[in-house]
Formats: sequence, C-alpha cells, structure tokens
Amino acid sequence: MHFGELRHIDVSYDKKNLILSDLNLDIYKGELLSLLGPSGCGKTTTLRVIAGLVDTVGGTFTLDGTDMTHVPVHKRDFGMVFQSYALFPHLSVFDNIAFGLKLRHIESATYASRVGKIMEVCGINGLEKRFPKQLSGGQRQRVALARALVIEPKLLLLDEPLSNLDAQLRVQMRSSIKRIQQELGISMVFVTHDQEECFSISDRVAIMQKGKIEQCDNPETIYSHPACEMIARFVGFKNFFPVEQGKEFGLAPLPNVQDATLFCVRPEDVELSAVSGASLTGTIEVRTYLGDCYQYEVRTKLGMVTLSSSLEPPRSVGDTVGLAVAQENVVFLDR
Amino acid sequence: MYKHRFIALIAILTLAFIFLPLILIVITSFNSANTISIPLDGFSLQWFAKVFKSRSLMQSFKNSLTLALLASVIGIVIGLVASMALVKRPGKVSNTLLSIFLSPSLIPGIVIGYVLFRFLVVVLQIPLNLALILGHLLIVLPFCVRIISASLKELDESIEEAARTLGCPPTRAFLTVVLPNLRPAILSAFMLSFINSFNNIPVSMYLKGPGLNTLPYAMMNHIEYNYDPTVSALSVMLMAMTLIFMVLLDRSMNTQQTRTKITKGE
Repeated sequence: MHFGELRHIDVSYDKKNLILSDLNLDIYKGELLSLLGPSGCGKTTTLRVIAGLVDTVGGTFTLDGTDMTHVPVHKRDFGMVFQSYALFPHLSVFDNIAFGLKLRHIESATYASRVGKIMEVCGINGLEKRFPKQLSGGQRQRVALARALVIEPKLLLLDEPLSNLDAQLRVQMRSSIKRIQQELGISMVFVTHDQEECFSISDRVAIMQKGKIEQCDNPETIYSHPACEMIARFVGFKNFFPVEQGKEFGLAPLPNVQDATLFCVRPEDVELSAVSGASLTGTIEVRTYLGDCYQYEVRTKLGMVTLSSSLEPPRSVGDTVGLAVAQENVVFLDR
Repeated sequence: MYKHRFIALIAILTLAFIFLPLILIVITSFNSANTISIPLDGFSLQWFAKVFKSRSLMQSFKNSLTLALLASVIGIVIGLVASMALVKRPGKVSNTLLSIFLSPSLIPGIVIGYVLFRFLVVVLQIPLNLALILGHLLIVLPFCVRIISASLKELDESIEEAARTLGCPPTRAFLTVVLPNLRPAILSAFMLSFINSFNNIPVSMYLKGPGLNTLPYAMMNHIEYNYDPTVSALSVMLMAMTLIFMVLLDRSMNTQQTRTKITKGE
C-alpha cells in the first residue's frame, strides 16, 4: 500500500457536471509529486480534495493507512501554500509562522525556536517583525512556505506557488523548494501548469486533463514515452501523422505496436538531408532563428513538418529539402 | 496666476460656507444675552448649564445615544452576516439581495417612518421603543452592508482556508483571521451608522411617543418655543463629542499602520 491513496474520487460543484471523475492517484512517502495540466483540468480541485477544502461526491482518500475522506481540514495536519500566499495581513511574519504552533498549545519558548529554525531553512531570518505588506513577492512566498512547514505537516500541498513570481525568481524559488523538500524529507504535492517547472523538480508527474489523470510517471518516462497526443504536445512533440503515412518517412513497416493510430516526432529529431534519395521532400515556408538553431516549417505532401536544425549554412525560405527521421526517435500513440 | 487666485478664492468661499455657521453657533453659545445674537453682550456659560438642567434634553440625549448604539451594533452584526453570504456566492440572486439591502437609503426617511408607523405600531401594536430601534436599523443597514461587503470582497478569501489548514476550526478561523482584517470597515460602518441614527428626524418623528423622544426632535421642539442659545450650547457639545469620537476611531483604525511604521523605525 502506498503512503497516500486517492481512490475513485468524484467531485461536482453543481451535482450535474463532474469536475473530477473516478480519479485515482498514489502519493509515495517523501516524494515531490506534481499535478500538471491546462487550466480547468481539475488539478487544483484534486489538491483541495487532499487538503479537505472540497467535499467529494464519492471515493476515498487514505493517508498512511488512515481514512481521511471525512476528516475536517483543521484535523488533517497538512501544510498548504496558496497561490495568493494567503498570509494574514494583520499579523507580523513571526506571528504568521507561529500561527499553527500556537494552535497546538506549544510552549512559547519551544515555538519561538521552531519558528527561528524554519525561517533559517527558508532563508527569511531577520524579517520577523515585518508585516506581509512590507515584503516582496519572493519573501511572501518563503513566509507562506515556512508557515506551512513549521507545523511539521504529514503532507505539504502547494497550489501554483510560483505563478506570481517573475521568471528569474521562479527558477530560484523552485530549486529552494526542491532543496527544502529533500532536506526535510517531506512528501509534497505540487500543482502547476508550467511544464518546465514541473519536470525540473518533480520525482513524479501526474498529467491531468478534463478531471482525469492521463499519465502518472517519472518525468523521464513521460518525456520519452508520452501516453497520448495531449501529453506529447505538452512535452514538445510538434509533428503528428497518421500511422499509415509512416512509410512516406522511410520508417520500417510498423513495429508491433497494437492499436497505434498516430506517430509523432520532435522538431529536433527531424533531419535535413539531400533531396536525392530522400523519402520525403518539401519546400521551406517559414524560417525562425532560435539562437542555437533555426526552426523551419516545411510544406510536404503530408502537410507541414516543423523541424529545428543547427545545420550551417542555414537553408533559406523556398529551398527544397529532403527530410529524414530515425526510427528510434518516433513515438507511436494510440489516441 | 489669475487662475490660481480664482481657485483659491473659490476654496476659501467653500470653506467659509461650511465652517461659518458652525463658528457662529460656537460664538453665540457663550453669549450672556438670552437671544441668539451677535455681537455678544457678555461671556457666560449659563446655557451650557441649562442644557444639563433640562430634563427633556438630557433624557432625549440618553434615548438617542442608546438608540444609535443599539441600531449600529445590530446593524453591524446583520451587515457582517449578510456580507459574508453575498460575497461568498456572487451572482444574480446576491446582486438582487444587495439592492434590497441598500434600498432603505434610497427611500425617503419620511416614507420609511410612515410605513413603519402604520405597519408596526398601528397594525402589529409593537411597543414604540422596539419600533424605533427597528426603524433606525433600516436607516443604518445600508451603510453596514455596503461598507463591510466592499471590504470583505477585497480580502483574500484563502486566508480563512489557510488558517483552517494550520489547524483552526472554522468559527475560530473566522474570529482570528477574517474579523481582525475587517476591523477598519466595521469601525467606519459603526461611525456612519451611529451618526446617521443619532441625527435622524424623519423616521423618529413617526415612531416617537409620550416619554420617548430623540435628541434632534427635542432640539426642534425647544427651538419652536424658545429663542435662547441653549440649543447652540448643546450643538457645541455635540460637535465636540463627534470630533472626539472621530479622532478616537481614526486612531484605532490607524493602529496597524502605526505599528508597521514603528517596526520600520519611522
């Protein structure tokens, strides 16, 4: 049995449309699990089900063998970091962080040292007396994190914690979060819509669409073996073709992939080759400079093919080129 | 340059328009003559003493004070509960409800007073003092609902959820996290409610009765039959009271800002 288990979770806000339908998810002990998906896919709702902030219509949630489905929020002992940080505006940073400890009737000397320790871990020592209004976005984020961590939660839930930060700070914060997670060995569930952010720090990623989990695996597996077209697009595949057109690319007669209807390939895995002898040729219609390479959009008899190549000198718009794809770089999809 | 002078002139005239009557009342209240007149015959505090001696004025002052306090406090409690419901479930229904809550401020007080009199006093035979409280509740409710719901809308609702995830039961989360952040709104709602209830004549006029009078109405009665500066003296005391009241409220509203300034070392 896993540390946390969501089984057959159904959630509906209006008793008609299901926001989550028959959702199953495992949480391993000490891992950073991400919920990734486009907005409206139900990832935040899933997190709120775990937190106990949303009532389920059906299904169970167990943690460490205990049924938590009907345990009220304040008895769950989970930390949560909200997208808006949700710091208490009328309390100082110290009182914000100590809030959960005071509720647990811990002696003031003990909680003061625990607050001090966690502030150091989160890199915000010295800000004790400030009020949330006086903090920068990154500092607020760290205070929110410290406040959730100081109660030593069984599970830490983060709802798009980085989406309100600028790009540079986001990269810095996500490695801080990863470092803290490893330091404390805490299990985390992290909601995000940013694929790069998600893949860079997660031990496992659950990709969601329309209230269901489409694929849940480690980032490497998802990156190399996406389970469906949506995920393939998410992880950078740009060229999708029906399986029957495989031979036009010079691919060997289909391997033993049952039920495959599509195959896809990344732009960087399509190679430019000489026109003569190429199984597929086309004309370059658009060329974009991407810094380390050029991206070409090539019109072929199968439709547009997007590829990137660092070939020097670059080909020009209007050139006719041959295209080649290596068999091992092709991914077959059944939907 | 001329334009600036013109603007300054208008500003001075406007301020004079606002403050001159008040200043005149303050001056006449210290007159030793028994008419409201300028120049002063001599300096005297007799009219102030007369206010405290007048049983009808003192009794109606107590009535108005109790009435304004009760109406404001009840109004704030209802306003708080109503705002929470309106803000948490936005939509057509809550917009309609908000309009209903605000409607007493659009209906002339004289109409409200008349309707309440016909309905509460004549038909339902409700005691006058209760009817008076209900009437004033209608006057203050729009202020309470509008001010508190506006402030609640601004407040990040996830702070309540954050408190709950940290181990706070729902009621306590509301009391320790939401309520303190609504304090400025509650105080200003209280201030506006109190002043509007305390000043009200149209509604009180219908619902007052034998032995039950409010201060503004008692003052009107007094002026009708006396031309002495007693009412001036009373007005000066009311102004002073309002001023103190406002300064105190302003202070307590700004405590958080002051606290932040102290920590900044300003």
